[in-house]
Amino acid sequence: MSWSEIDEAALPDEERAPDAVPASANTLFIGDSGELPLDTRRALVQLLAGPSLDGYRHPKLWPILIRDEVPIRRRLAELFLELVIDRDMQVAFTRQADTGELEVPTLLRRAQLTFIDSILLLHLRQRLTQADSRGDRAVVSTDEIMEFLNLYERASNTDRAGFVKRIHASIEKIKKHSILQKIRSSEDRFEISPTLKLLFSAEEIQALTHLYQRMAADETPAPVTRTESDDEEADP
Amino acid sequence: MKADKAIATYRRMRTQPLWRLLASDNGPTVIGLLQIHLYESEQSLPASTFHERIGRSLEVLRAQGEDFPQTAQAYVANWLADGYLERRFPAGASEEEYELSTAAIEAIRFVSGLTQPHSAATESRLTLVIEALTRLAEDTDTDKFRRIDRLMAEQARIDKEIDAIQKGQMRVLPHAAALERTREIITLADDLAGDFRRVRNQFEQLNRDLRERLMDNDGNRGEVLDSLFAGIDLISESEAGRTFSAFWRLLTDPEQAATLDQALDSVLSREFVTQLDAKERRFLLRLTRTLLEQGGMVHEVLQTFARSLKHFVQSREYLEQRRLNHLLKDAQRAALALKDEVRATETLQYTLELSSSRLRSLSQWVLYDPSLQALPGQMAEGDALPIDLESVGELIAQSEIDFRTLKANVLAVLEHRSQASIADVLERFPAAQGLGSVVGLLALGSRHGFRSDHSETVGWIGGDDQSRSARIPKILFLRERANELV
Repeated sequence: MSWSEIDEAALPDEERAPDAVPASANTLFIGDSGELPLDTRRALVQLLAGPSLDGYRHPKLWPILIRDEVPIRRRLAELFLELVIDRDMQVAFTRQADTGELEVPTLLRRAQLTFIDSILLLHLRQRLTQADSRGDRAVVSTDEIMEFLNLYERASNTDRAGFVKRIHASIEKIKKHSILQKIRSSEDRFEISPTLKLLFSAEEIQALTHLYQRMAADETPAPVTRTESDDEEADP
Repeated sequence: MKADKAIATYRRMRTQPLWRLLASDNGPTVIGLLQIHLYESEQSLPASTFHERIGRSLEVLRAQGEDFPQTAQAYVANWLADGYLERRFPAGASEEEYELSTAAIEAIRFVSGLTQPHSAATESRLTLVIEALTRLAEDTDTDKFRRIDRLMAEQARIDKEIDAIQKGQMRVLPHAAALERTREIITLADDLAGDFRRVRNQFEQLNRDLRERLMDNDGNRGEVLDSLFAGIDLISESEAGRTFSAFWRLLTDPEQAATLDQALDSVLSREFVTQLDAKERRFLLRLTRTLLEQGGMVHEVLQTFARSLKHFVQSREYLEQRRLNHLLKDAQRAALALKDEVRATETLQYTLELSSSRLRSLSQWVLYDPSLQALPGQMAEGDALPIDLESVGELIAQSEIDFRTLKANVLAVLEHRSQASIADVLERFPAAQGLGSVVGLLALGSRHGFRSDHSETVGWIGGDDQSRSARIPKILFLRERANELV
């Protein structure tokens, strides 16, 4: 290991580490007018593609994000997006920026929830809180979800199989949005993504409760028509 | 009627996992499988590995005509439900892990104690008791003169012994007695390592209880909080915590550790050690490492819990969680009130904001190319690709290869010949893990073998019952290097 004994300061400038040489423009391909280095762009794309950039699953991109938080935040702001970073949980994602009165186009997807979806979401959120208070990771199985959602089966329901099918569809939908993540090597056990805490906050839970209460009091308008932002079926 | 109480206790115990495991119909098989997979070699295994290994063992049993109709996964799920196994999902892990429950560990110890009955009244055990009692009597004696008298007597005895040795009379413990004492020490140390598990479980239980009490206690400053704010580290100060800390201090004390290492080295160099069986020797060789590893695990758990509990309290996270619990219960109640009014599939006027975007561009449209739909032509037969050592390394990193068996196979072949290639080994011991065995042998070969310039073809039966073959570099295992494989 003779090289480690060479005194770096004694070397002429050209022979020092390459990063001491001023970086030329980050031109990565023909016609590239971007400014960010390759890794930073990768992190940016991961954030845009979503649902999150996380330290466990993207161990290479996470430090880049922390290093280049400022330029990444700036790029996202151009798209009316806000960067949320939770350093304890090692997870980052984008959120539609609060633009107040200003009307801006939205780039992020939204999931229109059915009644059963919303119940499933509440259950998952609760399991997450429970696991949190014990200091564990939150894991659920299909059976357990079934058992819980059965409570919400209409008393007069005669189509039991149909209800079960709907729950499965709901689980699939939640999985598609990466809120439930399959655990390696087990068929029907899932980890509840900790990002759900941030996506489905206390305020959101209250909003949902109010909606239920208005529905119970028959104050809601006729069934919602599907909109552009609805992701189901629209996905390829 | 004292018997009443004992009987009631035993009735209760019989409903618990330890006794149920011992008494169950297939108890011997279950205990045997758990012992092999989660007790002797590793203490915890990722779910996939554990399922696979249990699956392999079941196949062996089935081949012997035993009746195990269900899948490995199903049995594992039953054992989990019966309380023989525990499943945890450590932070940072990509899959859940299995380990034995305390009940299963105790069952295994109890049963294996029965198979190697060591006479309870051994001389060495008695010596241990006498020495411990004498030490206790001395250490608790407050009489100055008596203590000095005893030390003087001890000094006289030592002087006499030195004299005797100088005159050429040295008493060396006979082999039989030395062996017996060694085994006694192994039992003691083994028990010690087993105790770590129980200590860790106690910590986990404690951590959970404390957090639950924090959550349930609606007063702002409950008992737990008061103690925590008073700076008392509840976990470290618990009975289990204090006992463990004292143990850990002793184990990590450099002087004590050096004494232990030295003593072990000396004992292992004695002649009588050759009469211990391989397992016992290995245990002694690894003793320090085992204690440090397992103790380190408990230490780590203790530290993490203490830290996270403090954080939980200081960050007022528990208040937020209490609030969330209430909110979630309200929401669920409101939803329950609606269940007969609203169809399950009715779309709500509620959208969940997601954190992924969807970019769509005209440029994503691809022209229809009829040639892509054309029927494929005849497929040409290609040459087999050589497996290079780098990709082999990667494969090994990703799979669970039974190196122990492979090494034993190589050694068995080398007993009959002075050198053997991988093909030679596979000829005598067909690849039990298919490509995995081949890769495993290549890995062993690249570490301990001699690589020639030739290559050879090896064959195995794939998981689909098809026979397959590959050309691999010809690596020779040599008998003179066989000791590397032990």
